[in-house]
Amino acid sequence: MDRKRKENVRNSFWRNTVQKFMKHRVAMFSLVFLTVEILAVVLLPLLMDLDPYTTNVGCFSMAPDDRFLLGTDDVGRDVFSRLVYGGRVSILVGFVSALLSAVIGIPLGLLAGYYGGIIRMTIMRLVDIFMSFPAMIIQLVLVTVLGASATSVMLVIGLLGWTGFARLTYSKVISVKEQEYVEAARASGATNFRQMFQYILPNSLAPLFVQFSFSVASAILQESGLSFLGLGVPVPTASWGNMIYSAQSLSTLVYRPWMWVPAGMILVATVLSINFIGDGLRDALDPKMKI
Amino acid sequence: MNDSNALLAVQNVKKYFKGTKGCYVKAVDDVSFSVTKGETLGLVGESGCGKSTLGRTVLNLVNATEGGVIYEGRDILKLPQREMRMLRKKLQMVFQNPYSSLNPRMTVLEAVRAPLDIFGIGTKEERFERSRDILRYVGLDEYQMYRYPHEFSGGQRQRIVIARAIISEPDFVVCDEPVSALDVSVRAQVLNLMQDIQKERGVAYLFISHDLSVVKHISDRIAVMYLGKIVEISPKEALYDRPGHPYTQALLSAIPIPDTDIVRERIILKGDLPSPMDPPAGCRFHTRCRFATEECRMKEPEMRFDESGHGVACHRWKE
Amino acid sequence: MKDNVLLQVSHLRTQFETKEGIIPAVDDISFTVERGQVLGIVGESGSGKSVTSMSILKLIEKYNGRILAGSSVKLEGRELLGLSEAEMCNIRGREIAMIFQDPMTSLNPVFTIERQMVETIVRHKKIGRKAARSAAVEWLAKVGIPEPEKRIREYPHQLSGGMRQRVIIAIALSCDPKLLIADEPTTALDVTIQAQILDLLRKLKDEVNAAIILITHDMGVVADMADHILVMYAGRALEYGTKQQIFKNPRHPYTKGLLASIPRMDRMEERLFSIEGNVPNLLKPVEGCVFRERCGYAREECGGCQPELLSLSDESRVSCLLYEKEAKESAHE
Repeated sequence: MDRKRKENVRNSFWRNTVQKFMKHRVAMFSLVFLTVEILAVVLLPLLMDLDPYTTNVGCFSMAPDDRFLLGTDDVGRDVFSRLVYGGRVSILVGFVSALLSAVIGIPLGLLAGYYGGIIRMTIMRLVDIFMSFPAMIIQLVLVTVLGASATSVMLVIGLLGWTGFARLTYSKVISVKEQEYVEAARASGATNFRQMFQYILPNSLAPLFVQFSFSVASAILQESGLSFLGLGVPVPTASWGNMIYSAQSLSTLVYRPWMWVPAGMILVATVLSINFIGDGLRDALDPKMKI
Repeated sequence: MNDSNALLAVQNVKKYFKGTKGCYVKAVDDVSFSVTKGETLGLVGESGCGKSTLGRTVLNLVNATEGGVIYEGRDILKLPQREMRMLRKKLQMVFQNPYSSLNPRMTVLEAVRAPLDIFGIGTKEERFERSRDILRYVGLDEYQMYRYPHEFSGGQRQRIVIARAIISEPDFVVCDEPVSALDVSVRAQVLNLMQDIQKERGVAYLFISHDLSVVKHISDRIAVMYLGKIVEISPKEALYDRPGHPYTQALLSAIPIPDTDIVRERIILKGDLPSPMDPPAGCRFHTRCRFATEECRMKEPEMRFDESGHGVACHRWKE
Repeated sequence: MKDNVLLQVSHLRTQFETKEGIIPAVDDISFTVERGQVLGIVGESGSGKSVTSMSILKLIEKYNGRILAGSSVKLEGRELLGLSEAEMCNIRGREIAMIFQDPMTSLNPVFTIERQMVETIVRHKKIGRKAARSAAVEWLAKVGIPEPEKRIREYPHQLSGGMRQRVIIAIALSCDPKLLIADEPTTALDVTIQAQILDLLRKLKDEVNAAIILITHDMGVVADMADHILVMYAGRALEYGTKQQIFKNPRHPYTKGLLASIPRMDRMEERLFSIEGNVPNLLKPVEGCVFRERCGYAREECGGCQPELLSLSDESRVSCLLYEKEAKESAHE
């Protein structure tokens, strides 16, 4: 009995996956980085006296010094504080909108791929219609209607981003559907629901993890774009996007790098590590990959 | 042959696929046979003759164009989806390729337990025990249950597939080329296992294969298929001793025998299989048949049976 | 006897390097092929039978394979393993031709049959295109393709599987090779078509006087075609003998088991003999005889190393300790 339990534990799917993920050095490093980052943006404001909003009169565009770790921006706000608070917004927007896209897109793609016929026609045409509109313009209109706020930015990006998930899921599902094990499941009496969620979806997930990581990254960037146009997270709330876009002025770009370089670097690092985690998860979830 | 004690009776089943330019591929064209309880009916034919499609049509995995399959007094091809699903407990299938017929993301235990899970048979513990017992029965150790299919060899995987097919105690299993993908030395193990299962559980098989020697070994009766039609159906001894249809004769003589003493007259068929999109008129075999006459070119032969239940669809049988 | 030897393979060892480790796919294989003879190499998947033929043609480098030092492949006394790639190109197709299992993948789908045949003939026989074309048509007729003048202008996909394999055979034989290696030439074909192709090979064999190495997993096919048989298992040669000896009096337990486990057309048996267990995984080094774990006669000594191929007579060799005594006796005689 004891041996059986041991075997059971050792071979359980999740344990296996976790073990494999941990062997994936880059992904593991990225995960640590992302965790530290998330902890930092959540906890630092509680631990330190950070103030991203006050304009320190007389301290406009100051280079980093003892008082301002990363200097101040052109209206005299502490860049470090803004970086931390901006991280809260950017990461939240990134994950929530990607999740929203996935939750809408994956089931629709699955339905379209599995059933085909009229269902496929309807869903895939809808995808085409969504994709043929310039996303930015719709986002602008929607944000204008909803009013600029972090919530509406998440909604807008998430609602428009599902097409990628739907397409990818669809294309993967139509190939997995033809596999013999799906037919075997049907021959065993599995319901459509079971075939979809126990046989087809798990075997279609790998590229979706990668798509999800891209989605998070792209949502963070889109939020930056919207912020830049004044329709993202409204000022004075900070986000990495609106910090980077301060580099629009040539003098800031060239002479005051502290205002945008930290935000840019942290943004790149975050996007990269999310992508690496996606890769690592994809490999770890493949039972054929050896540890 | 329409005996009343048939477990499953296939009646005039047709399956046409839509081809290009409005043509139809007549994969299965007006096929009837029956399977009695606990017997093995072998179905042989060359690639493209429609034998796999027939196997799937019988189980209602592809929709038949016409015809019926009577099981327990009901035509299962006309059952609503829900009822058909419940019947699958009793009508199972083993696939050709053990490498692709197991979900790579399910452990062996989960795969074998799936039919029990689907039909909600027993408690969780009972399902586990039954799965373990059946895996042990097909020759897998308990510690292997939590492994994934890719960790097993082809022969072991096919055992797992067989375990999955019989765990819900079916009456009838369609076996589509179950040993074709296996190595010769492993093939015998799987065939023996299938025979043991039949003996102990009384399950009937429809054993589909292109390999006449394997079919001969495992079957009680054999049906020979050519271009969507059954051309000969018979108890196996009669078929091998006195093949009635010229196609069966050619098929039998074409198989190389692993022995050096036996010298046989070989019937080498002329030409290739005609396209199933446009099968020859009259008897479908007449383009390659040694005995073809004008009648064969004009009129399609009916299946005729002799008193022993040996049926042949040929105008010139017993001439 | 000796000058009749066309191909001599001795101590051939081929390894593949993979992510998981080194696979000794062929381990110390020796055999000879005489002119006009058919050698059947039988084995299951992973037995190394195909790798052996690829090694003869030095076609394994692109699969990360390596032929180890000490191996030798001599064609009419000329060592092939030392030749450069350019020299090998003149051997392949010209002196040693090959037929593969899948007739679709060995023809180029975007060229007509004519172009593929004429190019091969022009390259190897150094004759003009016109002469090459008429030779090609002649060969197509010889392999039984109806209307060769018309068929030669078609593309591979317009032909059926059996026809394609005939074209492959025509291409292979059109340059008068000394040796033809046929790797599972009929496995992808239906039995009735297989019978046609085997029939064709048998007829052509006498006509062109080429030696044939026939690689297959089907004991029936070798019984039909071969003069001598080499039985391979897990990269090793377990038994070599004439066809009659192998089928009438198989010596190695594996050969015996294999023959007994095949359902026979000419007999009725209730139950098949089955060899227990599975083919060993070559990634894990096997100690002793490769067949030991599945062998009913395994003894403690079998765990030492793979036995030498013991000569039981001129034409019969077996790699099994059961025959040590017999081999000694035959050596004394």
